Amino acid sequence: MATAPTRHLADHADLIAAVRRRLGAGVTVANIDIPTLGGVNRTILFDVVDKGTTKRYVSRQETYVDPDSPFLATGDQFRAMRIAFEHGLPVPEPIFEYDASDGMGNGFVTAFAAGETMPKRIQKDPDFLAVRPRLVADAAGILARIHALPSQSFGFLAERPDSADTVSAHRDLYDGYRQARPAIEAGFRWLERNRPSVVDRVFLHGDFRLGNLMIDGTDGISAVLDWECAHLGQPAEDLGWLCTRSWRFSRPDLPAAGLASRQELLDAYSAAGGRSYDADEIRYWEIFGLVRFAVLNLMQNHGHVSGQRRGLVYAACGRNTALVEYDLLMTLAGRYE
Amino acid sequence: MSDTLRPQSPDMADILQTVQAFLKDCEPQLAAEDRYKAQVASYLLGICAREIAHGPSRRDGAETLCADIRAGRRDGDWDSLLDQLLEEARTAVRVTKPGHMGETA
Repeated sequence: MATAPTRHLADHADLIAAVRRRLGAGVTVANIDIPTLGGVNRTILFDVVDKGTTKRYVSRQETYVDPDSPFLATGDQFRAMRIAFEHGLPVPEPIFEYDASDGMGNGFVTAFAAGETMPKRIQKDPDFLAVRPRLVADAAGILARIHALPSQSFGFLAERPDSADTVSAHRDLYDGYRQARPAIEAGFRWLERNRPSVVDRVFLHGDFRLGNLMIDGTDGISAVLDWECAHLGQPAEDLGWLCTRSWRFSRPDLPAAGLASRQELLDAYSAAGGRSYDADEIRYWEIFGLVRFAVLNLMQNHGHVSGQRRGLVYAACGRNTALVEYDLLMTLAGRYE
Repeated sequence: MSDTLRPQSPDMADILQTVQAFLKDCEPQLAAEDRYKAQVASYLLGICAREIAHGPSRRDGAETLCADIRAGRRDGDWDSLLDQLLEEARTAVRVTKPGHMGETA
């Protein structure tokens, strides 16, 4: 990860004070780095030295709070990660949340997870040759354990629109961006006419795909990142998102994360204690995944053209909506697997 | 007096190419995030060049079409609706990123 030059420790007096409040007045903070690929949130990496033991941590702060953001507030992300961590799932260990007296805004500190998140490297680089064949089975096992977390622990997610009905929640987001997009409209129409009859509500990660999985060349999946889309819903939604064409990257021929077949994923998922699904039940959520990704691109476009959050990358997302619509229509027309 | 613009030189396609070449030359000197942004900037200029070559976009009654789809008035000719939308989507992909069709076909 590329980093900007380390700033003087004095520039981070607030961070250091917040860390000492939680981890002890005797600890030292060192090796502060600010990764340049931070996106909307501010990320700071740092070491904490405690009696000769050094451990690396990550601080995440919200730099901009969009009142219309569909994503979880940092406090709820932290709560969800803590529950997952306490159940032994591979999550960066949640350390503490910032509060008002820190003067750091909304955010939290977790342990640092090392590894690779770039999908194309994970799919092709020789460094991952040893773990690649088992990544999909391992991902299926982790998903089965996420979906088995006690849903009564996640009452704080129950009132979210995507917990009530994720298709309608995304339709409402789409309507809010006020762009008439016939392809997206057709996607929603198809989703409404083909709704699955089973309605169950378990805890979902909500953004489980390559890019949000930290991969180690020896140990495989070392951490599941980015819990900001967590909600309640049908397990098949998480499985379908993992198979969504946009997340197959350089291998669209391999539905499960561009690494394996859909059936291999489903077999591993049920072998790990997850529900048994047939491929068509997953395909429904892949169509949803394409509609959702198109809507997320419209969201970035809306932030850009409305002036709330302008930027090159957001402008490109707006134009890339057309590419996702093409994939959606090809899939709806049965021309894509 | 007329507001007709006589052809100017270099033309827009040339200007866009020239700016893209400049961005390319800058890349090696840039840190990771700015290098990525220079590539995105170049991508956006490429879209402009292809859109100029394609000709102006037009208002096409998308609002009415969306309302019809939502109300189920296109359920009866769904396949031909998809064909029509795919035809439009191909045009948009050719402007946005022509390689996308080859990459994923």
